[in-house]
Amino acid sequence: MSFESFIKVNKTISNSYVEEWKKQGKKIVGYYCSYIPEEILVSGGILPFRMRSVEAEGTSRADTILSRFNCSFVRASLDLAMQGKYNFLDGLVVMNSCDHARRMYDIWKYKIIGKLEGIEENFGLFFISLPHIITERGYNWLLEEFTFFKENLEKTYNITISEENLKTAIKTLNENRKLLKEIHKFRILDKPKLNGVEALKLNIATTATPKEISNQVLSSYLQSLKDREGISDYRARLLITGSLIDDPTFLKIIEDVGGLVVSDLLCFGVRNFWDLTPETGDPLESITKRYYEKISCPRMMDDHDRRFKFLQELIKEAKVDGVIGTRIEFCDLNGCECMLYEHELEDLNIPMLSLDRDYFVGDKGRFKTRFEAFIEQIE
Amino acid sequence: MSSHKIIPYEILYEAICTTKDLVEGGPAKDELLVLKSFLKHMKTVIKRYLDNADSGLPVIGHHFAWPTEIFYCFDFVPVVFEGIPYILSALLPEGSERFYDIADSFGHPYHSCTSQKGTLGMVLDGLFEFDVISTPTSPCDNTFATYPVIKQLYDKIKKQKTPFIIADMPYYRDDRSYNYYGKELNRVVSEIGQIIGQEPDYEKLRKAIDVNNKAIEIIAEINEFKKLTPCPIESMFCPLMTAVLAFIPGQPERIGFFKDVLEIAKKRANKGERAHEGEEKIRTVWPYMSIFFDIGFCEWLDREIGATILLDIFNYLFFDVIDTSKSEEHIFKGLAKQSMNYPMVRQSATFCDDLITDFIYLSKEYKADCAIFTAHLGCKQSVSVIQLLREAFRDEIGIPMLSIDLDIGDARFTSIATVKREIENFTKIHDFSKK
Ligand code: SF4
Ligand code: SF4
Repeated sequence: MSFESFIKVNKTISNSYVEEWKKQGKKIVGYYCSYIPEEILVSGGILPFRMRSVEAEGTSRADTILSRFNCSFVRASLDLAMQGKYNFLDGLVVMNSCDHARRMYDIWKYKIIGKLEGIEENFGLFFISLPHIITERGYNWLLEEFTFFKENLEKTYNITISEENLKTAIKTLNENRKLLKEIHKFRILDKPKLNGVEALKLNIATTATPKEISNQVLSSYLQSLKDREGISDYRARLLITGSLIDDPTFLKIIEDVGGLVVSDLLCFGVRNFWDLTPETGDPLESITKRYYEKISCPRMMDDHDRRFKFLQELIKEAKVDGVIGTRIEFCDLNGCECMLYEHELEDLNIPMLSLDRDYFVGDKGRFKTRFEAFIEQIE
Repeated sequence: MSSHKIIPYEILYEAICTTKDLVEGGPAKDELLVLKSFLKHMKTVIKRYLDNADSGLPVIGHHFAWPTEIFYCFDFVPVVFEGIPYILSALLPEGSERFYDIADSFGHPYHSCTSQKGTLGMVLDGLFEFDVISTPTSPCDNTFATYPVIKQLYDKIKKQKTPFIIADMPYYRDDRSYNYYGKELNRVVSEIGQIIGQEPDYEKLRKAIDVNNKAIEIIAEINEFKKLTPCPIESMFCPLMTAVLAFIPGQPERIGFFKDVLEIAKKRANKGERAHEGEEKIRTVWPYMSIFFDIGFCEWLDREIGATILLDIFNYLFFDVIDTSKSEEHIFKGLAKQSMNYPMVRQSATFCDDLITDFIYLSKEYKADCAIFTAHLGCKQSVSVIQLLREAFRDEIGIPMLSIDLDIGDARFTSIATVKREIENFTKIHDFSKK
């Protein structure tokens, strides 16, 4: 349970904690989106595991199923599944997050489960339908969806998820989020105590390890931060947003040329830990409230203004000099959102670099040049 | 003819009149009959919209995936966002490319759907005046992503806050979802009523639904004729039907067009004829959309290749008529059910099972020799399941499927020459003459 082994988790799909969990005969369920209620999985003694694509070297296997118009992150994650890298999973829960990720339900159903060695017929496949707007009717719908999800888990894995279990899970997950939020505070200092790469690594690790372990590591890390020397040799304070980033390589290129990523609006980041689940009242209702009302992503159609306001608060709080928006090719949601931000921030005289890219950070030189130019512009 | 509120409809009206003159002045009287009927009815309807806009009726900019009849509770002018760029791409020599470029240069992702990109370009060009913008949360990311952009930028240009009304459509197709969405539709009607200052008139709604009910019955009859060999209806009917569904909801011209087509089909079927000289060599189904950017393409298929498009995604309706004698609750639920199973919504906005089973069933019913899938750049949810579909065609009914990467509304992405070459190669490889 060393910090070193925890932070290393970002480099691989499976990891020593996952292996240990499996050895104990416990279940692991993969999920694609930060709207999946981890509390419900945790309360059933299941390890929630966020799908990533980090070990992928290409997408040739997945390309026999998906189209070149599909997001390369999703193609890469399917490629990994086809290589057996996700064989440690006992189930997968998908939601209508984006058009690429939601099709993973269909693809796993028809092409993976029972077809690939290691993913047998009894593999659990779940779906959650999340409303695209925020209304009272939508809240009630989602509450039902989460209730069905809980019942499906109980049936599939022959477990019981009690109210007490749910309450405990809420506390554990809130603890996790609070720790990440405390760490975030050290990131936004004038002399930040950690850089963007380190913050991303921590965030990723929390989505691939048991929460109790994650909490222990994060709290001792938090203590250690206090004694750290702050970073002052940076040229620009940056915030990063846009399509998914699950590989620190991209942030490293930015930080190698003198940018310091002091904040983000990403799924493996602020969007994942910012909001807490109420610890009072009916636990399923509290969980529903948290996920439905949390700071949203562009799949929530009527919430752009709130997201932009939140982005402005993050910018202000972290004294950000410029924003980098990354758009993975074929990601319509973040593609449009970044375009809006660019125009809106321009009106506020906040520089933004909008960058189209593939999931794979291939041509590092090209990015380096773009980041250097952007930082120069800000300086 | 001038309505400064909906200039793209003025452009459309001019394009319809010009095409109509060209087609009617053409060589043969009994050629292009379906197109002639289409132009006649569209001309009447678009003129009505322009007149109504001029007379000050509120303009509702809306998504094609609505059951547009719900707005017929009101006196209003419908402007169907996804329809305009594509019909203009068919009718104007230069297509809608200028509008796509305006949106692109503003930063709209190149891969986002041109159906909305074109309208965004028109908005940025200041060509619209809307009283309300409205959409369901369906069928794809382009809708979730581009509608807020259209609304934000429209507001910025007009320096106002335009009402933006959204109904949430669940992912499933079951009773619980139909009830939920039916209530959403009801909410939308009352919100729009308040915005435009009109009380919903449910009798008018019932009448509009009755018109659509009648059209649904005629479409079913037309589809029976399509099962004949040779098929008595030209391929061009498929994209034209898409346009009629989008542009002419709840109005008599909808019935008029489908009646005309039915008559044409009956006459040809009695003589055992197809629409064109020569043999019907290949019967095709298109599990996705037809191509819009080249109006002559379907004719090329019919005449040069001897291939008929029996059906595309927009030509078969998997829903029942609505009993308008029943309560409003029943009607809204019926509308919910219809629109959640509306072409493209049924196949795109939920699991892929219906898309696959529908087209396997239809291909058998209509004796298709092959399928052709237009892998439209915008539709990420559909291109994701091409391989599943291809395997189902192969394994369940033993027919091949060609898939072509293109943009159905932009001739520059994949040229029509390339599309034709791919189809020619496909037909050579599979040699359908031996069928
Ligand atoms: S981008 Fe949105 S939908 Fe996708 S994982 Fe993040 S929160 Fe979920
Ligand atoms: S990057 Fe965009 S397209 Fe890819 S999975 Fe995330 S939201 Fe979907």
